Amino acid sequence: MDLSHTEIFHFEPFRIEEGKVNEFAKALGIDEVFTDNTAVPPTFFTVIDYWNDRDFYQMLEEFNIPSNNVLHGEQSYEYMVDVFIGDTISAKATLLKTLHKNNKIFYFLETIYTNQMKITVAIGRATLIELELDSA
Amino acid sequence: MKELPAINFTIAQSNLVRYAGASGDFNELHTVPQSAIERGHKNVVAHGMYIMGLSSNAIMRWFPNSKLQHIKVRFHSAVYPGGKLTINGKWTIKDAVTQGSIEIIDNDGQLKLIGNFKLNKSIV
Repeated sequence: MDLSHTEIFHFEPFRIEEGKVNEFAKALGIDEVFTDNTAVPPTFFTVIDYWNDRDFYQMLEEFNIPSNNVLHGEQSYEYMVDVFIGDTISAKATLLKTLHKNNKIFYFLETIYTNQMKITVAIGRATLIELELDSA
Repeated sequence: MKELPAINFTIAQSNLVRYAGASGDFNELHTVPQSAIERGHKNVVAHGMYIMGLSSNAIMRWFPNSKLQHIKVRFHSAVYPGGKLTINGKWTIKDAVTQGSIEIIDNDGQLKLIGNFKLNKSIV
């Protein structure tokens, strides 16, 4: 059985608000005030995923990944262009591959973030790991 | 590879509450102790993305005039409130690109995260 397949999920375009950026930076202990010309913190993309009207958990549901039984195994970001307050970021996630190995299922996801000028600003890649509890 | 100055910090449960609100990830594993305990944990588990965020903070602190071009981390084990963590880093310049590795361990020496990073220009 071929278990690898491709699925696509579009997040809602997300406007980067000043208050949200500063709240996130403070939560990470960043001692800096973010204004219109300061690029958002490197892991701010997580806010785009989770505070979205179509959020990360809806994506997992559409990809058939059980949200209460997965671990975040790996995460990477590649940065091309800075993101600023006032930008509107679109995000397209793809389930690239699913792999069964050692009683675990590995899900490989890629999310491409683009700004309002349709320029790719960053690519996030995640590995989620599901433990197959009932496999005996 | 040259060593970077280690950064020590302690995770408070309220840090995780604040991070949950700021990031929008309210998964009960990270926010409701009873729910985390039912899943076999001793308390709520820190968001992996919080630990990655602290890693990127460390890199920006080590290289304040550079910009992150790439970061990749692997989460090794759960971080709980009260965890005393140390971030270690090493760096080098290869093909005019500053790059390095990062790890987070707790005070029992247990590995929490490993990763590597690249910066967009070398600054010495």
